Formats: sequence, structure tokens, C-alpha cells
Amino acid sequence: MNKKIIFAVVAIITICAVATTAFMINTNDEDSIDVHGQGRQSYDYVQGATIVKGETYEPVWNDYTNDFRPKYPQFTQEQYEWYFGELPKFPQDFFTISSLIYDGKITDYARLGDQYWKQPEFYPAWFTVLDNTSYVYFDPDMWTPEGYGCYPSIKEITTNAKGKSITVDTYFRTGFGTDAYQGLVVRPILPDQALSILGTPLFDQPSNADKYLTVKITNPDDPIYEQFKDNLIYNNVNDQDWFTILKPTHQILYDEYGNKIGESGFPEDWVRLLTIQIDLDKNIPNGDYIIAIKVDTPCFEINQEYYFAQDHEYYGAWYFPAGRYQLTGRPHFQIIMHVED
Amino acid sequence: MKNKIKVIGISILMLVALSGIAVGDSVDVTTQWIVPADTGISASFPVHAGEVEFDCSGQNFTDQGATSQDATHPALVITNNGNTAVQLEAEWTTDWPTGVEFVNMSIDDWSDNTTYGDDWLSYSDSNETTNQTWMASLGVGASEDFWFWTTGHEVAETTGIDRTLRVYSTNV
Repeated sequence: MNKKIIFAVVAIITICAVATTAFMINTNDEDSIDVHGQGRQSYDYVQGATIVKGETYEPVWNDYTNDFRPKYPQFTQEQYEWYFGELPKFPQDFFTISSLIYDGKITDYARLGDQYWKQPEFYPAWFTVLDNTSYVYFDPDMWTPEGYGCYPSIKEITTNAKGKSITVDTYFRTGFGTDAYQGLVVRPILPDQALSILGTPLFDQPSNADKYLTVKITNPDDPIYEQFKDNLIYNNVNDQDWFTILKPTHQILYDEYGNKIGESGFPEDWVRLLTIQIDLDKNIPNGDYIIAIKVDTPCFEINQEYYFAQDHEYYGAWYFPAGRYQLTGRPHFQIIMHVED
Repeated sequence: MKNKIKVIGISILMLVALSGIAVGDSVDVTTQWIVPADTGISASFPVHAGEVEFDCSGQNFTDQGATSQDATHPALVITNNGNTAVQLEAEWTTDWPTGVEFVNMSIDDWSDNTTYGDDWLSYSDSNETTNQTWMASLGVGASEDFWFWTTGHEVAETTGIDRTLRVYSTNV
């Protein structure tokens, strides 16, 4: 009997040790990935730049979160609740799916459930940033009012939808460790050139593209903006433009006496699935076209309304007219579209 | 009257639904390539600052440091939230007010309020709207610190002038 107990204890210890080791092992065998897809790649989008993979782990049950989120040794259970408490449960197959994405075996991101794309682990920089300044070693005397981006940054599609409409999606998200409610204007545009991720021109937009293409953002609506948009006289926006508040991904919370009472992390909607509708004229010539997403600062009137929008959710001093400092050398998102019969 | 409205409403809904089906049945869209690059940088400031600000007490100032910056708190921190290294460049979008001569910035290295670190660059009133490279490569998830000072003479008195400093990030 004693031998059986000893054997059982040893077995349990062994299993625990193996499991602990397994979940700490980063299973990546390469650090970088190439562009991927099916069919042909028409242009050299990357031009030698290195795109870094996110990390992947073996799934191990996390008692702090009651799901399969990796157990980062830097975080306490309280921090797990602060940072991840509002997110969907972390699926057991999360890193299987993310590996398929990194390897180009899944390209239809719009079919993924939000239990995947709303996790910070879906975005490769998370694994570096969490150890940097944003969550573990952040400085309470600094704050981050601006940070956002798109993932992926380029999609190449082929369509024969002449005289019809198609939609293309990307993920639009707050940057890690961002403190403010960011007001942004997101504009679909027809740029003059397609650019590689290094900013190198790839090809020119057909000169009459605007005659054959109409683009607008259809998802998601911003309910706060919808409430006041009809009462404003705009000075720099069009009907196709889209307004949004991107919510903060990290805040330190204080009581009325200035004492820290906790932190907050990722809200449930810190990432938005951005849907671009492209209407193709029935007479559009075959060829290659570029549709892009450009981000700008809202005009004064829009900002003022958002500052007032405290009935819906407290913004006040936490509202920040973003889009002022950051501009990538190319649009945040580009759609390279081949039109054919 | 109510019934009539309802019927019209249903008719419209049916038309919309039918047209949706027709479009969905006949369109081919093939996603051929996806570039899984994640764009995005973030900008951080000392608490209570949402910009790089100089509080100048008179019309003449020399090496006036940005408000709220000190040895441990840069006026600006840029973090690369994407999954490719980026080059950082910046320029002012419009000319400075007459009399502002220099804005000098120190990168990653605070020395003191009047001498700059080893790695610094300068904008003058002749090139403030010209792009300058701040960093050739900021790695994935990495941050970089920036401190600012300005010098000016006979600058017109004002309650505040905003000039936008636009930071460009390009993958490298």
C-alpha cells in the first residue's frame, strides 16, 4: 500500500514537472515568417524586412483564469483579473490556430471567432511588450495617450465582382499599454500608389480608379458617434469616413484621495473588425487597384462632442484626439485588388 | 394606415434580402496573399502632458527644456507595437513662429538640461519641416526615449502656439 502511495506521488510530481516544462517551452522553431497565401504573389510586399512571429505555447490549464491563457510568471492572479478579466475565454486550441495563421494555412481572418482575435496573444508584439514597460515595469509617472494599428497590413485579392460589392476585413486595435480613449477618423482612400511595407512604390493606381470604385467602412458603427453625427456641421470629413473611440488597454485606477486601488486592462472591444465595402462599377477595366485605410485626427467639433460624451461612458480627461503623432510611411492597411472577368 | 406601412416595410426588407442573395451568389473573391505585418507605434508622455510642450517665460530663451521632462521622465517615448522593426522619422507640419531658432533633441540619453547626450539631433528654423531620421531601427516591442530643448529670441508673445510634430514609422 505504501509503495502504491509513493509511486502515485512520484508519478504526480513527474507529470506536473513535465507539464510545467512543456508550457514554458516556446514551440516556435523560427522567428520570422514570410507573406503567404494561395495562388500567385503579384508584388514583393516585404522586400527583405523581417516579420516576427508571435510565440506559441502548449496548452495548459490556468487556474487563475479558468481557461488556457499562458501563465506568465510576471503576473499575479490579481493582475490576470485586471488585464484579461473582460476578454473571451482563452481557447485550448488558440496556439494551434495562431500557428496556422503564421504559416499561411488560414487566411480568411474574418471567419475566426473573437475568442482568437481579441486576445493580446494574437498580436506578435505582445510577448515583448508585456515584459517591456506597458504592464510589468510601467512607470506611473508616464502615460500613453496614443497607440493603434491594423493587422494584417496588406491583403491581395482577386475578384470578378463587376457591378457588385465586396467586403474585406482587417483588425483595428488599440496599442498595448495605452491609457486614453482615442478619438480617430478612419478613412478609406484610393491612394496613388501601392507600397511595400518598407514604403517602396509597387505600382501606380489607374488614373481613373475613382470613376469605377466607391469605398466605405461598414463595420462596426460607433453608437456614440451615431447619436450626435446629424447635429454637426463638419469641416473636414466625408460620408465615407468612420469615427471611433478606441478604448484604453491599461489604466491605473485611483480613489478620490489619490491612492491606487487597482488597474484595468483589455476591454472586451479593444479590437474592432474593420470591414471595408468596395463597390465596383460594372464597366471597371481589368487591372490592379489599391484601396487603403488612412487614420486622421477628428476635427474640433467631433472632439468636442466626445469630450461631452460622459453620459455614455466616462471619457473626460481620458479622451485624446489621436492621430496627431503617428503616421506610418505607408497606409495602415492596403488592399491590392486584381479585377478580372 | 398602420397596416399599409407595415406591408411596405416588409416589402422593402424582402427586396433587400433578395438583392443580398443575388449578389452573394455571383461574386468571386479570392484572398491570394496576406502580409501578416502588424502596424502601430504608441506615444507616451509624462503624466498630464499630451504633447511636447515648452513653457517659455519670456521672448528670449536658451535651451528651454520641455515641460515635465527630467532625467527619468523623457518628454516623449515611442514604442513599437508591431511585429517588424521600424525606422522613426519626424518633421513639423508647419513652420515655427518667427524667432524660434532651434529645437534640439536627445535620444536615449539624458545628460542635463543644457548639454545633450551623445546621440542627439537638431531642427532649426530653416529645416523644421524637413524629415529627419530619429532612429534607423526600433525593434519589435522596443521603446525609445526622447528629450527636447528649444532656443529662441524675440519671439512674439503669445498665449500658446501649437505646432504638430509628425512621427513617421516605416518598416525596415
